[in-house]
Amino acid sequence: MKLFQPIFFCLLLFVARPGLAQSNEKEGQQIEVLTVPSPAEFFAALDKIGKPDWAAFYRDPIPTIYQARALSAVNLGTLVTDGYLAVEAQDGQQVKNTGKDIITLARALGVGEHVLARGKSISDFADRNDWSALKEELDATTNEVRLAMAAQRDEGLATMITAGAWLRALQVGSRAAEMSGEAKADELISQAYLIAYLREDLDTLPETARNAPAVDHVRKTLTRVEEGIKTGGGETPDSTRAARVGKITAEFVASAAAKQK
Amino acid sequence: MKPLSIALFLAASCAWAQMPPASTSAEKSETPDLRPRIYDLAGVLGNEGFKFRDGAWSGSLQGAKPQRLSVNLFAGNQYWFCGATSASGETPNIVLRDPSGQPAEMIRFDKAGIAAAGVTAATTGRYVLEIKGSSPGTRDFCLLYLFK
Repeated sequence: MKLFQPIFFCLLLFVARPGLAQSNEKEGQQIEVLTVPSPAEFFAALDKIGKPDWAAFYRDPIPTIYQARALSAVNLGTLVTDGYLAVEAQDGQQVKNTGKDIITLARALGVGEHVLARGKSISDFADRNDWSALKEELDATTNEVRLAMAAQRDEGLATMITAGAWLRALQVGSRAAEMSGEAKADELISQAYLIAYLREDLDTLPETARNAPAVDHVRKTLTRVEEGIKTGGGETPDSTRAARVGKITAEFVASAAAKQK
Repeated sequence: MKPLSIALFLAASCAWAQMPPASTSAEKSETPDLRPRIYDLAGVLGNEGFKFRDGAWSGSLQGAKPQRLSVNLFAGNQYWFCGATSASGETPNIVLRDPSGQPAEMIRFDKAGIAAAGVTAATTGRYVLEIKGSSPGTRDFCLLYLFK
């Protein structure tokens, strides 16, 4: 049980999060959406197929100052996935660098000091090469930032964090799937339901928030990814799913992180 | 998934975990603390390398009517779903339906008031998890799941 103590109280907090489960009707049955999976779960599945060289998917450090909060949120999400990537690569220094950037962006979003203290935990676990605890700590940090956004009545930003994390995860996963050449890896990219769920969440935002440039960019990207997963979107119908999704997500991640002028 | 070893491991570990007994009074059953019971069990699985997925879900069951949850699972990953209800002595039944709607074959571990079901996802996609009990009336339930 002691392995779980660092995250136990965070989990209790998360359990209490209102709106965790959203319901929809299908075939006359009430179905609740439990939660969005973390990129760590996705990477775990990819790792079973081909043991990718995770460090090969690193990117250059991104800016940590953005004018729009929505842009800060989506980039924070992409950094969280970078954190999982560094954990998979078992690269302590990269985890610490990424953790520092996550905390900087979290601070820009106005989260409380108790969340910021997690930066030290990430650093401590990285120093000890405690990869298992690091995954838990990244989960906990993300959840606490999302909770803070919800407490500030910024649920849209919470979704932007998740969308950013998943778009970056799909970029990495698509490349890993392409490199493995395995059909099973290509199948893992097929996350149409998850992507639709995130897009629909953003679609329900008030009009002003929904049409903010950063949010609109994410919504359009999610739509393109859905098309890329299902049909290829007519762009390159003969390519693999991984190639299509990889192209769309790589464009998005680079664009979202681009330094603002 | 090494079903026998996992099942034996869970059985032994539950004795170690000293889960509190199911509520014995009406007052307690109104406000049960289900989470520590399933966290004890989940903690045991954690020692086997399973990670908590990012939350737990709780609500109420009415009679034998199931609650259904939609979950995204990834092919090749192993999952354990752990659930408990507040009804005295009731062991919930956990069923997982794959993206085609067929019940997935699961490894089960049941003990009074708590249940766990494990599966290795054969395909990636949207699964539907059902939790139901056999007791009459309304009672609380809590469920969480882990992956490896």
